[in-house]
Amino acid sequence: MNAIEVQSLKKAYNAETTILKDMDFTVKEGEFFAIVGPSGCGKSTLLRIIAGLEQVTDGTLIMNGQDATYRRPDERNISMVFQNYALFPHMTVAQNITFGLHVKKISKEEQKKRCMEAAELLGLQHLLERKPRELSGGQRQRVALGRAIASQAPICLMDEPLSNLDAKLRSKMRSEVRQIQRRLGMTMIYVTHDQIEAMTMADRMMVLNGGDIQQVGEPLHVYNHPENKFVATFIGSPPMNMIEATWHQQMLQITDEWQLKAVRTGQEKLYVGVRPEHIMHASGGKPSFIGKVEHVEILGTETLIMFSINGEQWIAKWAGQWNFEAGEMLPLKVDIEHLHLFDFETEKRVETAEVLMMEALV
Amino acid sequence: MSIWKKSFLYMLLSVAAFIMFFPILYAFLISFMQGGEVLQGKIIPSDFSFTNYESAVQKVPLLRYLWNSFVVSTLIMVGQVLFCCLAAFAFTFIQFKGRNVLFLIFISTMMIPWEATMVPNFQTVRALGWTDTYLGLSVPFFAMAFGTFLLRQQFKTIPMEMYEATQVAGVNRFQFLFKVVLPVSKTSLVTLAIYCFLSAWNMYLWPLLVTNDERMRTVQIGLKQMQSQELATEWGVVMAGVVMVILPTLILLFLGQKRLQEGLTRGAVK
Repeated sequence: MNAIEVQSLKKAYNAETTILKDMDFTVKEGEFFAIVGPSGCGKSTLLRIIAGLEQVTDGTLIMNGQDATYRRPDERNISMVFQNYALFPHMTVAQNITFGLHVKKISKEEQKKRCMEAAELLGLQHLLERKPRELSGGQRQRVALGRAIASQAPICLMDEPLSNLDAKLRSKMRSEVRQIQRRLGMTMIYVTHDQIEAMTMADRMMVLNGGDIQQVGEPLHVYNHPENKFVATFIGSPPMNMIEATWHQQMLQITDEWQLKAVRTGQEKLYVGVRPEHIMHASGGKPSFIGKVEHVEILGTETLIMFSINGEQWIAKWAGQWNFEAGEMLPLKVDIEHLHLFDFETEKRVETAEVLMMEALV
Repeated sequence: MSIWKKSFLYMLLSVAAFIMFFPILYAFLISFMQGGEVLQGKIIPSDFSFTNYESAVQKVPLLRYLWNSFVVSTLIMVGQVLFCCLAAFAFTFIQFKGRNVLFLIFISTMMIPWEATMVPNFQTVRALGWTDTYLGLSVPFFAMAFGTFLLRQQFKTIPMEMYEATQVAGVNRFQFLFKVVLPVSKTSLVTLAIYCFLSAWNMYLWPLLVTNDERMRTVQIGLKQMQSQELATEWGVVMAGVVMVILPTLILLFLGQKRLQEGLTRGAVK
């Protein structure tokens, strides 16, 4: 069953500034759904609309099978975790966790029970009498999570909840949030600008840009088959390398020395993209192109090699530790199946198999 | 800081404090002086007896005045804090069209001197038949721009997410105000309350206008009466009255000093 259905939803503050353009998507029950995009893409606005904190301009929002477009936030049966946690400084952890339960006519004993359960799940038992200012960032984050858990709302909305934590704690909380979501079977809508969070936590993710849905799908599918150039460069770190290629009769000219036999499409030009991990050392075989090394970052388990080809800077990611001098010429190779092609005008994906002939390495 | 520098600074501060406090100290000493002692230029009274205090209470109904002032000041304090809270809450947390314009107009009333609004206020109070009542003395001071401004500054430091979290939880606005906003803003509320009480206690012109009945007058009028009742003012008696009148003020200031400092400078340095 669908927990949330968004139908042709629009949000505009006035005639000129449209925040969200005609959105359609569904979130299934019990799903971890990540909304990811650069800042200003409208992802937080979308979440606030789902929460009922902001009004839609047009469209329908169906939650748990009922039209909830114009319902008050508390009628939507949701819980929400904010970026700054929104903990009440004058209340103890226990009071913060059970905040709002009295409105729903939940007995004192039940409140206490829920509080203990949530605290146990999050390892907060020994902190229940403390005030928020006596807690560390990670503990505050857990209390905010505890409030969402104690409310037992089937849908939980999270607005960049981990962005105030340091890198180490963040990766720990990532797996914790994910485990709790699985165990409780909540439907989770998780807004983030961090594509790593979206990739590692989500069942499905939605990429937004400029108030438009770019792609919805399982993280790996989005990674392996980006729908357009924006998704290709936004998802993945370091980002996908991109270069313009031009047609010469039945050849696709990528760099001066790198050309591929292909079935010509209408356009004069194409974008060609390669993920950093798919660029390999030619090692004796025929190289696809020669890159001039500019800078090398050795990270221990892997090495990032920045090199230039035809004036563009590309990055290759190799496992292990490699060292090259700047200025060194490196013979590099890319398999055809790892090339991503995008239309020059629309920037939409062009299926590689339709254009390139697999055996046609020149 | 060296001990010398420190002791020098403290000495300087003590001297300044003594100079600043001298009039009150002198008034306190005069309140024990008999007859001509003041005119002789004495500083220390010859005898510490309470006769002046007794005659001060007898000459004008000072105790009655003290009670009136206390009631009026308390009413103004409670009323002003309540109304300013509600107004500041609306100006901070409730979105409505023209909110900022309305707020600007609201605080621009701070630029109009109170004396200028006195005549229309008086006419209103008289039309309502509130002369010589506690209502007439206190109600015109319930809605004040300064208090609203002070509390709004404080409320604005509360993150909007807290309000949104209460909305999601289904807690209504009044509960949010009483359970979250007010406890968090305790310092500012205490500041405003003390400030209101003190300025109400020191009011002179308005009580003079709206009260004719002896039974409704406040302390500041009482003092003036004492001074002008007889041709030859008995300064000892007047000062005894003054000391009795400023005592509550001093106690309140002393108790709330820390809070008052914190509250008035909050938002100023940021």
